[in-house]
Amino acid sequence: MFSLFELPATTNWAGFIIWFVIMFSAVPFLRYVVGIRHWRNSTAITFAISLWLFLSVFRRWYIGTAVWLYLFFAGLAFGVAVYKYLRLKPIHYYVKVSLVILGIFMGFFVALWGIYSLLGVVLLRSQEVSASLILLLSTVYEYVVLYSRKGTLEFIRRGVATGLVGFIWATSAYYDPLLQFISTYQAFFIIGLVVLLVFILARWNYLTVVEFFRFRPILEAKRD
Amino acid sequence: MLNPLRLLSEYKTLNEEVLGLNRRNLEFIKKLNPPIYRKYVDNKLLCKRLFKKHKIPTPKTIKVIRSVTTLEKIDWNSLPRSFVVKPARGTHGRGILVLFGKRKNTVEWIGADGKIYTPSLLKEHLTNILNGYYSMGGVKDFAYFEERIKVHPVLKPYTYKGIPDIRVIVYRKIPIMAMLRLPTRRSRGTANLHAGAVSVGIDLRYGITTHAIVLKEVDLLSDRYDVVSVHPDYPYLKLSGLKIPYWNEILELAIKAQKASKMGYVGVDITIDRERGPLVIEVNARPGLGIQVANAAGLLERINAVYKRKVKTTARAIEIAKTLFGGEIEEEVEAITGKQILGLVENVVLYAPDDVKLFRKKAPLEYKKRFVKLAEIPVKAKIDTGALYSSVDYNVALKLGYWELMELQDIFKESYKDIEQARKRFEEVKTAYEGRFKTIIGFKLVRSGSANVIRPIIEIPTLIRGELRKIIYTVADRSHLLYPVIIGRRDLKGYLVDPSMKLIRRK
Repeated sequence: MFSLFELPATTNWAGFIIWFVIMFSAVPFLRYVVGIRHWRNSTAITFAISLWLFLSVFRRWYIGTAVWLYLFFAGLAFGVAVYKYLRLKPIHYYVKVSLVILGIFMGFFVALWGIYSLLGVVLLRSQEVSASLILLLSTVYEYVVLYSRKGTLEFIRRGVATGLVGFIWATSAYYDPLLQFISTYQAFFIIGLVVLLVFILARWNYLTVVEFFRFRPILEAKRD
Repeated sequence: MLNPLRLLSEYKTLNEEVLGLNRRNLEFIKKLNPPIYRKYVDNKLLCKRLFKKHKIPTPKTIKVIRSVTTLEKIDWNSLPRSFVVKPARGTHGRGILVLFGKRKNTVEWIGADGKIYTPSLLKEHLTNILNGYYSMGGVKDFAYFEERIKVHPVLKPYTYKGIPDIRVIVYRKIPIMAMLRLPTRRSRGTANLHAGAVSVGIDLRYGITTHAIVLKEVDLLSDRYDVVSVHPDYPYLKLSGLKIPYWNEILELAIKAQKASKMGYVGVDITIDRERGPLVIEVNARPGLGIQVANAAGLLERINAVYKRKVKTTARAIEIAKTLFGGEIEEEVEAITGKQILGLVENVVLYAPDDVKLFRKKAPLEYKKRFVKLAEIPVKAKIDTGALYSSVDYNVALKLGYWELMELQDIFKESYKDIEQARKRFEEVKTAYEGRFKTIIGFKLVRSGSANVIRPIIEIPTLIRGELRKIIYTVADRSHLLYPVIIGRRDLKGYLVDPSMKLIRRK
């Protein structure tokens, strides 16, 4: 029987950690130069680690990503549904939190059961998948909080930005030749460049790319 | 196809004129709004206390709920027919519940969204507030009930259910920009731009609305806006040209609130109550930047115009704001009438004509020793619609090269109370000097004070607001007067004069 789930690739832990640190500079760059706001560094981190752990189970990263996203959206759909149902109910706040987390977990359960029904595979047999799901639970919960605090539009914007950061972190860290490169002596040169970039960004007071498009109508109005 | 060079050029221009988040946070909020003062305005209850201390009118607080215990003890029957529920630390209008009226013989209120709010529903909303659901950072919060503002009749037709407000950005005591925020059906009765309220720019001089914008329905990139000319819910209502009542009072209140906050860059939100007039709702330590799109002008440009300008009085601050940041309406009047608008004092430039410049070579030594030859002289001119003819100071004319005036020094000293005597002398002067001068084109008999005087007339090309005109001036000794030049009615054809405009130099 064709199996999607093949043996994991090798892992370069040192390179992964250094890469993680380097990728942190992507956050201020996205925020202050491009103008994309993400939702909490912790969410991007749990997103990245969860995805990275999950991908370590799959030989083909795109298959692993697709399955992970399937679980992500299943959990998110259930979590948001429970949140919307409970929003105006007269019950204590932390009970609501617990129920939302339970809803997310139910979403995962339904998704995993779907995989089992279709392919006969029990994903939870893998330790990496189990660990990934725990982190994914936290990630999805943060997304539900984002939705509840900021509304649909901002949820999409920041959710995509957070996911972008996390996705780039995880998939690039999964790319072994890159980790090999970083693990060599060039790592300190790269870290030096990153530190320089972060110092430049520290006093960056120009308009972001997003603001440029937001305020461009001012120029058009002046021309009129 | 987007031209990269054009985009770069636009980016450069925008960067110089528009205030972005990065610069706002680094150079204004961090430097001018210290955290120790920010905490007062971040908490609306503390802010109200501050306003009370400085005698700044605000909506009345009915009750404060600090804990679940207080919540349980509320006497719902004692609450008024209409009021507003607010979180003390809420942002972007979240958590605000406007209750319009009470259902007859019940303890139920009707919300702006049409829902019926029973005490249990209200308790639940208040519990959420207390748990920090709407507060900045999700921290525990207080809730309070506030009187519901009765919307001013001028603004009421433009308001969908909620309360419209006016935000004034004040930078170091000077109001630099303002906008009117109108609740809509889409914003569910809130005056929140991010929720879909209409934002209308306001001309600071006249308090008249200019451009209107509303957030795009769906925009994944960022907060971008559509320009609208009519209210989305009331398409028969034009949004520009609306005169805001109590405009001067609003500007004064905004400055007062900024001073009370002890911060240097704030947004002051003011509403107008039908009975009480302007009331300050809150001071915002991190005012949003969408106001720039509503006004089609950059905040940075305006801040640079008043940067480091020291202002001692509120009146002076308002005068500066009106002069530097008004004019939108003027431009519209200019566009409609085809006439430029002048103030009572204008910077003009007097030029020495070519023939006068050439003729300077023939000037006597005495003139050449005393006067430096100038091709142009910038001066402050009084725009005097009470005078028929324009007049220039004798010394200014000499500097430009009209040296022949030196031969007429005696005439400047003559004055005649009797008009017949003056006329006789005028004829004598005309006859005596006819054809004698190259640069003096004639003489005029004018009334100056209580006497009649004879003045030589010369023609000087004059630049007024970018337009060069040949103006006939009478020459007089104006050395003891404030302005060396006055422009009279005869030379103001094609201009409109606004007496409220004062000349304030941009830095």
